[in-house]
Amino acid sequence: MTVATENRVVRRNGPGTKRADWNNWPPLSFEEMDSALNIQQFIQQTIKANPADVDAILTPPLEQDEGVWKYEHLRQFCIELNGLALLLQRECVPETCQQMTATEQWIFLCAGHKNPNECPAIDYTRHTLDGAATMLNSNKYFPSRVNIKEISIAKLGSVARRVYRIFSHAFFHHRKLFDEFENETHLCRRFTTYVSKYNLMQQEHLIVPILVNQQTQQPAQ
Amino acid sequence: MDDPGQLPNAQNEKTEEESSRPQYTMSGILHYIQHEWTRNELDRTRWEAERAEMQARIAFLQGERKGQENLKQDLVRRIKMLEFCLKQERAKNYRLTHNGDEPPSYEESPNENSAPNDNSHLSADLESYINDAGEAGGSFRTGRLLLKRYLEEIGYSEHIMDVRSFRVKNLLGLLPQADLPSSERLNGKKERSDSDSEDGHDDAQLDADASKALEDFDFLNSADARERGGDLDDWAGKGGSFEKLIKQYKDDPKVKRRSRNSTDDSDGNTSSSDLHRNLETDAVPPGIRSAIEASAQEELPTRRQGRRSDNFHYGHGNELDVALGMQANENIDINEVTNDDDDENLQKVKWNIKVSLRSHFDAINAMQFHPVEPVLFTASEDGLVKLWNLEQKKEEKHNSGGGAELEPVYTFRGHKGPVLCLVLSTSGDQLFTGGFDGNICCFNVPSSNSDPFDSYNPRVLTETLSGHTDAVWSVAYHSANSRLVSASSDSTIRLWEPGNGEPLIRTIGAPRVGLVPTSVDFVSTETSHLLAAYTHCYAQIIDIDTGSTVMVFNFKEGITGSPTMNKIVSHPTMPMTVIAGEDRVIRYFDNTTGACTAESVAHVEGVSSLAIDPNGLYLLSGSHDGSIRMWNMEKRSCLQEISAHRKKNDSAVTSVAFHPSRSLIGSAGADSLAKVYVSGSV
Repeated sequence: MTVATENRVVRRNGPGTKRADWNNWPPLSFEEMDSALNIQQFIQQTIKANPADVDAILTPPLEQDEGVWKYEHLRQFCIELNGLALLLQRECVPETCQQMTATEQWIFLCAGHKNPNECPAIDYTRHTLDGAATMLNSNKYFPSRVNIKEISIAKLGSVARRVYRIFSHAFFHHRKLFDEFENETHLCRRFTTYVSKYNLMQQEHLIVPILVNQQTQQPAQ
Repeated sequence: MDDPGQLPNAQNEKTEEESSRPQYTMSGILHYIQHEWTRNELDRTRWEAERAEMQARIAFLQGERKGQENLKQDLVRRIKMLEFCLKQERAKNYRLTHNGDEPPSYEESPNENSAPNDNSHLSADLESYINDAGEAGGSFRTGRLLLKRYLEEIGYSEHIMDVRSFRVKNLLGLLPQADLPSSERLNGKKERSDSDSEDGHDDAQLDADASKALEDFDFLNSADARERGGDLDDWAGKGGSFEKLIKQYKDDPKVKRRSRNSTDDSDGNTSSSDLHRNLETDAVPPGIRSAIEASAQEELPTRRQGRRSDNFHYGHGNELDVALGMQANENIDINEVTNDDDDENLQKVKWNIKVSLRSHFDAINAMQFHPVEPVLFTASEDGLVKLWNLEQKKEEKHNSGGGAELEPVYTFRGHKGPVLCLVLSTSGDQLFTGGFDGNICCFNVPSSNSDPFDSYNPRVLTETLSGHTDAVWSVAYHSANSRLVSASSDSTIRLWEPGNGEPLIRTIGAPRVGLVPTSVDFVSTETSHLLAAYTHCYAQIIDIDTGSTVMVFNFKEGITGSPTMNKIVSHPTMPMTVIAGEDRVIRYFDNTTGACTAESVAHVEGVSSLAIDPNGLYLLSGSHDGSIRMWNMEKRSCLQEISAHRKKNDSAVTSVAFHPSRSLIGSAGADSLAKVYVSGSV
């Protein structure tokens, strides 16, 4: 047993792991991932391979349950959106962004509160991400990560719709910061492709013109 | 004339009035009211105390009830298992006695008629077992009730645990036959006196054991049934579920194939779970294996076979291990895991899960309790640090869908990418976190009762200490002068003074090229000394005032592969250091000599984390094998093992913690969960 352990590639980032070696192990085919969190592993592995290859990242393994696939992707989006929230924390202050807006058309109310509240943009961002964390980890709606109830799938849409507003706010009000983030992660492009592919949001709500084939809609004034 | 007489009378009355009046003076009334009030107050406090007592009692009873329910479920599951085993053995027997013919009920195309037949056959068997168990026909029931009462008197749940594990071990032939009480052996022979072949005898033995085991469960079931009103109903219900199981069993060709021929790996087996692997390495009768698989399917009908049964293993792994006598087998190479019988009276305290904290999106890397409050901090690879109030009032304050679950009170955002370590100041009002981004963030800890949806206060993040050029893996707080030590994979250990204009005070390089510090802690008995563990089997004590090495710990010879030392902790009262290694070993060192005083293989996989209780009596370890273990520091014996976390890639448990002043422990893992356990007697 000891010999087997020594020779095996150990896929973990132990203490002292250098940044360059982080998750730096030979990729594993999906069939060989025998842990219960294989979908998350698979998604993160594909992202690490090339964050720009959105189509590859969004291609599920064969016979993958779609609900779990969508769910784990949304979790991954929330993880990475924390990076955008961190950037926004630096320059999105209530003095400049008193309300959560993208275009002039809508003011978004924060759903984290008992009564939807007109939070400043930075609070909206934080509350929405924290609310998404609570929702996606809720014992009521998502008790398991390997088997998702049909009724809970509907919740994914509302979470997606809310977190998308973070992209749109950053795009319309903190463009430099958005570009910096997008160039590194391609997250908005991936997110837009994801919600379109799985029909989680209506096309007219996707107001950030990020995809080539996306109609550059002129937001109605 | 009357007047003078009346006058004194009137005067008398007056004086009487006067004498009675003081009772109604202002001060008197006030005094009375005050008196009454205090009495009332006294009563109230007494009532409140009584109420609290009752509430505690209710909580205790509820806990007990839950425990009993779990036990019951477990037993029911085991019955199903044994039932299948029996079935399997009977089929084998049938084949043996009928010159290798397949038993009729297991034909490839079972017709509909065979099922009811089979069922009646089964129930008849059950009947016979019950009768066997009684051995006195009519007086069986009264005898059983009597037995049950006796058992209740001696605290039968504990007893049952022993009996149960003994039986199951017996059943699997893991105990030498000599251990069996002679009466049982006799029973076994009596029951199957007709079988003469060697195999047949074994079968008989197994059947006898199975029947004995069933008998044990039998009265438990009857206890349930009595509550519900009649044990016949209960058996009928059970029979139904058995039937279901059997049918499922028959319908699934894969299981059948596997059970017939254990070497024939069906495709479902290629992604075999740990359970399967364990089963293959231990010589388990094929009947049991199929029984477990079938019961796994029965319990998780929607889960797919193969990989999905991993979850089954996770959920019930521990119980199964016990059931299959796996523990003894697995622990062969784990030293000093002795089930010290002498200790049993002393170590009645067992830890049970209190709450599972779900809110992180990715692996949690570090956790720590608040020094006083029931408050926990967790740091995760999702880039967030969360503050949890374990005694949070459950209010439906937010419509975020959480319901009655515990939600984090505050979320700290400061790191880009994973947060790898955290430490609290002595008072618990400052938090320091180190991250993958090479920064250390200093936070003011907000109130543990604040609103999670409060507006953002940028002053919570007071300072970001940057200087490390690679990930920060460990931070330690020096209570005496509010300094901070950090260990990074840029191979340096740095000393900081937050709040100072020039926070970086000293940089201490690695003792050798290629060594990377992994974990730091302060020596409790010598405050200027720092413990540092490194990769490649190295650890030392550093004087932080000078930056020079005080002592290099002397690892014994013959350690293969120079494993990384994952975690170093100081004993809270003695000059002693404990180090956890990737090589599964926990080592104890003497700070004065640097010598390794003891070492033992503690887990099946690398030990990722350690925590010592505030009194230095117990050591808690967490490992990538998914379990946490509680150790007696003095005897270095394992007191309890808990399967805590699932694996993501090859990591599982990443952090363990003791609450410094309350009876709470915690574990955090790669499965994004943090768990808190409370102690309770068995």
